[in-house]
Amino acid sequence: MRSLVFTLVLLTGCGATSGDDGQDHTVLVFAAASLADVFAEVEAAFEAAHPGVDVQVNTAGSATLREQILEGAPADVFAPADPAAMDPVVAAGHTVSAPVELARNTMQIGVPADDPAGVRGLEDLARAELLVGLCTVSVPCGALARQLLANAGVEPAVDTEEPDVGSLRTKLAVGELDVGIVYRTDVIADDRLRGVDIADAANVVATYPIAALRPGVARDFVAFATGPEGRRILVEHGFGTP
Amino acid sequence: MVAPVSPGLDARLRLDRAGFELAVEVDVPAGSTLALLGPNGAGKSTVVEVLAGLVALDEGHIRLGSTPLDDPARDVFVPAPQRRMGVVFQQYLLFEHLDVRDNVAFGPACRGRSRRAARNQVEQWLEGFELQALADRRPSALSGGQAQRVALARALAAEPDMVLLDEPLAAVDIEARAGLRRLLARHLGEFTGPRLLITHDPVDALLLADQVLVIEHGRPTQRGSPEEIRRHPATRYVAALAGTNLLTGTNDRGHVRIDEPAITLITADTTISGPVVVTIEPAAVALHATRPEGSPRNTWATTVAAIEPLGDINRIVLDQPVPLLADITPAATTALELAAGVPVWVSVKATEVDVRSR
Amino acid sequence: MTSPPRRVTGRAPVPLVVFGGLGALLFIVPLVGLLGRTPWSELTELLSSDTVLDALRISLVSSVAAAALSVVFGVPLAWLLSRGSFPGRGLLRAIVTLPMVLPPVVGGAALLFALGRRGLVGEPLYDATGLVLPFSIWGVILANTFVAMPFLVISVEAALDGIDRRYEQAASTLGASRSHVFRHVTIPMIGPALRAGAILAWARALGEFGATVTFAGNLQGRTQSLPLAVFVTLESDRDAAVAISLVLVVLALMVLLVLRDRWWSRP
Repeated sequence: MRSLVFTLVLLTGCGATSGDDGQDHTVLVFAAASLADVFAEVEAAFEAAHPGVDVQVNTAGSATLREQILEGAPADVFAPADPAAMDPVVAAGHTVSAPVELARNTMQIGVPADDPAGVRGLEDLARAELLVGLCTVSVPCGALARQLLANAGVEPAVDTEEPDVGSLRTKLAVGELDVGIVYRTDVIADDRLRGVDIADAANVVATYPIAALRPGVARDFVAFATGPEGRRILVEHGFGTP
Repeated sequence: MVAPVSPGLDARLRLDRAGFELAVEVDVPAGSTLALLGPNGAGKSTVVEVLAGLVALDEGHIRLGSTPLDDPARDVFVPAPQRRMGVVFQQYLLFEHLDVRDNVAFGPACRGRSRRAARNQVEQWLEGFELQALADRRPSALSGGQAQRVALARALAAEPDMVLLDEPLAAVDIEARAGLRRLLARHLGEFTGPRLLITHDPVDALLLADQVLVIEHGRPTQRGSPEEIRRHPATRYVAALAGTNLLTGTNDRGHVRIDEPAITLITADTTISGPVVVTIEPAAVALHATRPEGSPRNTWATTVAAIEPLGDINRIVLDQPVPLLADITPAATTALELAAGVPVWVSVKATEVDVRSR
Repeated sequence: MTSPPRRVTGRAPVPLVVFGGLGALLFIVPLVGLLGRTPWSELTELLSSDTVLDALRISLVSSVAAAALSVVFGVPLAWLLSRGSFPGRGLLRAIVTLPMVLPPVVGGAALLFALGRRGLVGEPLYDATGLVLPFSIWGVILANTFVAMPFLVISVEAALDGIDRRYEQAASTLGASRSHVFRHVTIPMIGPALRAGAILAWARALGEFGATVTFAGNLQGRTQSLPLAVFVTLESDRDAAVAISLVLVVLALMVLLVLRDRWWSRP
C-alpha cells in the first residue's frame, strides 16, 4: 500500500532518472519487504562509495512490486523474495541482464519476545485459541510458509493473512499476534521477536534474485549488492549467501 | 371566607442584556387583554421571552396566580416547558415536518395525554379554527392567514394558563386580517386567563385590548385604556401611534353611519361595505373660524375641549358631537385664537375618511 | 404542444465548463478503464466464487453496522460539539475529524495500540473478559466506524448549528421536555443532513482498506472485505480483482444514485 503511494509520488515528481542528461543520479530499487532492513544499510554503503548518487529503496510485498513494474513503474532494480516474482518481469523484457542470486533465507516461527503462548514447534500453529498470522499466499513469505506447513503435515488455524511480511512482523513484535511464520532474518533484525527453529527437513529455502532493469548505475548497484561488501552486510543481517 | 387569588399575571421585570435594560411592571388580570405597544427595539419581544421562560430575570418576579414562575431573590425559576404559557410567535414557527393536525396536537402530545383524549381535543380545536379541511396539509402549503390560525390553535390546544401573542396579525395580508382579527377576538374572549398582545396596529389595540401598555427603550411610558392612550398621549411615539382618530360604524356606498356618536360621515371609499373601522388622521382634520366653503363634505361646528402642545404641533381635543383629535401648527392655533371652550368649525375631506373592514 | 422554455440566460461560461469537464473526467476515465478491463465473459463465474461472496457479505455487514454505529454515537457527539459549552470543545472537534485527514493505516495502527490485545484499553478488556477485537468481524466494524463516523458528525453538527433555535423554543413553550424537543423537533429538522451523513459514512466504510487491514487483519470469510479481496487478488489473479472492483463500484453507485435525490433534497 505504501509503495503504491510512493510510486505515484515518484511518477509525478522526480523525473531525474537516467537519460535526462546522460548522467545517472538516482537508483530506484524495488525490494521485497524482508529486505527492508538490510537494504537500508546497503543503500548507505553504496551511496558512500558512489557520491552524487541517490539510492531510493521502495519495499512492499513482492507480488505488488511485480505488478507495478509490469504496469510500467520506473524501477531501476528489482529484488523480490522469490524467483516466481522475477520470472514474469524477465519474460516481459524489463531486465537488461539475467537475474543473479542475491541471497538466501529460511523461515522461522516468530513469536513475541515474551512468548505468552509457549510455542515450541509448528504444531502450535494449529492451536485454535492462539492468534496465528501468515502472509497471503500471493507473497513469497506466505507461499513458503504454506509449503513448509504442508511438509510438516500441520493444518494451521490462521487468523490473518497479512499483505506483506513487514506488517506480520510488526504485529508479532507488539504482541497482537501470538505466532507466525516469518523469515529468519526478520527475527534477527527485531529484538522484540523471538524465533523458534523449524526442523531442516520441513524448512524451505527462499532464494532472492536480483536484476537491473536499466543500464548504467543500476547495474553498478546490482554488482555492489552481490559483491563482497554487499555480501558482508547480508550475512550480518542473517541472510545466507549463494 | 378567603377570596380566591385571581389567576392573573403579576410581573415585575428587571433584565440587563448586553447594555439593553428592561424595567417594567406587567400586570394582567385574568380574563383581560393587555396590548403591549412600542417601537422596534423597545423590548416587547424580550417581555414575551421572559414571561415564556426562555430568558431568566436578573431581578423582580413573575407570578401567575399564586404560582411563582421566576423569582431570582428566592432562587425560583420554572423552565419554559412547565410554565403553561401559550405563545404565538410572530413568524408562527409551525413545525414543517408535521402536518396541521400534528402541529396542533403537539402540546397535548408532549404533556402525555392518552391517545384518544388528545385526538378528540385536537379535533375540537381544528373545528374551532376552521382547520378541518387543512388538517393534512404541511405548513409550507398554507397561506399566512391559515398559518396564523394553526399557530393560535396550537398554542391554545396546549391548555395554557396565559396567552402571549407576538404581533399575531403583522404578517397577514389585508384581506385576511379583518377575519382573523374577529377570530382572535372571539377566542381571546373565550380564554379565561390573562392575555398579552403585542401589536403595532392601534386598530388591534382598540378592538382587542382592555388595557394598553406602551414601552420605549425597555421602560414603560404610558399605561391605560385604549381611549386614554389616544386622548392623552404621553410621548411623541404614542401620539403618532395611537393618536389616530378611530371610530366604528357601517359603510353604505360612501355613507358611514358611525356607531357612536350617531352621525354620518362621507367617505370616498365605496368599495368596502358593512361594518368598518374609520380612521381619520389628526393632521387631516381642518379647523376653521367660520363654516368652510367649497368641497369638504364632512363639516360641523364644535368646541375645543383641550389643547395639548406636542412640540412642533398642537393636538386639539375636540368636544361633542364628534370628539376628534386635530393636529395643527402653533401658528394656526394662535390665528384661530383657540382655547378650551372656544367654538370652532371642523371639516374633513371625504378622501381623508379611511375605512377598513371590521 | 408547448415548446420548451426559451433560454433567458446565456450559455455557461467557458472556463467553468472546461474545468468542470476536466474534473468530471477525473472520475469518469478510471471508471471507463475499469470497465474496459472487465472480463465480461467470465464475470458470473468469477463472481460466484466463495472469495467474492464472503467478501460481499463481510463488506455489507460491516459497512451497514459502521453506519449504524456512526449514527448512534455520532449524533449525540455532534450535539455536544454544537450545543455544548465545555472547555476543550474545539480540541475535541479537531480530534474527532482527525481520521478524515490521517492516512487510514495510521488510524488502524492507532486502533491497534489502543484496542489490540496488548493495547491501552484492549489489554485490561482482554484480561477481564477475554474479548479480542482485532482479527474478528468486530475489528472490521470498529475500523470502519473509526473512519466513517467523522463524516456523519461533521454533517450533523453543521445542520444543528444551522437550524433555527426558535423552533425548539416554540416546542418548549408548548410543554416539550428537552429530550422530547430533541426527538420530535431537532432530529426531524436535521433529517436531510442526518441521512446524507449516514450515507456518506456508509460509503466511506464500504471502501475502507488501510485501517481495516491494519487493525482487523485479512482472512477470507472472517475479515476480508471487498477492498481487501481486491488488493489480495490483484497480485495473483488480475481478472478476479477487476471483477470484484466492479462489484464494489456497482454496489456503491446503486445506493448513491437511488438514494441521492430522495434523501438529500427532500426537507
